[in-house]
Amino acid sequence: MQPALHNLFDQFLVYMQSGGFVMWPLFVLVIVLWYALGYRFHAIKRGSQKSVRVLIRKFDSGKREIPRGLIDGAIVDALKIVNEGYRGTIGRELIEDAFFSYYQELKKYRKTVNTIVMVSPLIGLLGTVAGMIETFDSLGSMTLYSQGGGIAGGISQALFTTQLGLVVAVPGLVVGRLIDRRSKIMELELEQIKDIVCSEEEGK
Amino acid sequence: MRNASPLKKHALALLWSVFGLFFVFIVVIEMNNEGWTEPPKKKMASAQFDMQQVAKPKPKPKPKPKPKPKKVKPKRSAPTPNLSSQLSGLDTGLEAFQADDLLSDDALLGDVGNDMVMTDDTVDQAPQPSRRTPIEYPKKARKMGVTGYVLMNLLIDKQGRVEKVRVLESDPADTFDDVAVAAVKTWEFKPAQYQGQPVKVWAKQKIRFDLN
Repeated sequence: MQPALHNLFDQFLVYMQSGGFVMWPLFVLVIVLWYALGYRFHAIKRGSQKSVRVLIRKFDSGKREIPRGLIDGAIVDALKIVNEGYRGTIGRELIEDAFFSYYQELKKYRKTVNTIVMVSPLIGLLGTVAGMIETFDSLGSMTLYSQGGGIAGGISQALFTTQLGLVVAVPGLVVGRLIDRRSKIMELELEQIKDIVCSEEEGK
Repeated sequence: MRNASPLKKHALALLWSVFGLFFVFIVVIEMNNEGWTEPPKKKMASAQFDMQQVAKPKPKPKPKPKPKPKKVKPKRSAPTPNLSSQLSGLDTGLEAFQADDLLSDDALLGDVGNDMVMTDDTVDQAPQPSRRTPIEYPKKARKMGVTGYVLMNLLIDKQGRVEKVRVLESDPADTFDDVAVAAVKTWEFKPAQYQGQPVKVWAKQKIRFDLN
């Protein structure tokens, strides 16, 4: 295990070197991207799987007390405001204020993920262009087959950076979209909670 | 949030970032690993072995064929250009136009050669001076102790006479030029030879002016 890991690290270093100056920005982007994805993944937890209407009834009747996820927390907050006697448009506005932090949490790092997913292939492309420039430079200066440069160096640089850019972007894009979908659904559910709580209390 | 404190979420996110880093780079390195292409080869080899078992009642344990060293193809030299074959598709309006004709003395090149002016490098035999006239050292230069040289290009005709003279280089400039040109014009040469015939030629001649 130890030598295998060591070997892998060596390969990693060789890879980073052959890719040129674009590799390290991409390296940083990978860390940031997956940090953002991880944060979003853990922040956007619904809690119970039951529908919003059922959950509201349960929390209202006192069968459940401890909220487990984001939707649960939102329901508890909304019910607290309603039970304190705020109704109608005032109640709705207060609930909206209370929900602000939930909306914020749902949107946190979304822009970051989207930006990195868009930018990393472009940075890879930049590396490719740099590699091609090196290649054509070597054509001009007749150092075609020289060590550590020339056609071989330029082309490998060109290919590695594009590859890394795409490998960074594609999983990020897929996972990011899945999490985005979840956050969109939960945004709708927050609206639903607002409507149900207010309308039920008005109806009583 | 109530279910997880912000700190915990950030810690988990940090874990994810480490995971993502490993994931991305292991994927990329494995992609570029040459060993990555090996497993399918092994599979193919075993599949072939199975088929042989079905076909033959007695399965013989065959020693695995060792990977043969790659055959090195004998290097071929570039084919010599065959002008006649290149021109074969064209109707040139000439009868039996062949590349061999180009090289013979009587053909195209021979005719051209009659009036052609050649240079030192292209002739078979460079012109040799057969009669030189002595050159007078300029008095002024002798007084001042100036030495130098003049490099000239001479056009020597078929009879070996100097037709034209051009000064290519001189050091010091213009000091010896007139004397040298005047002298060289009276020289006679053994004409240059190309394929056994005298030809007109541009030849270089350097004259040094030294004080002994």
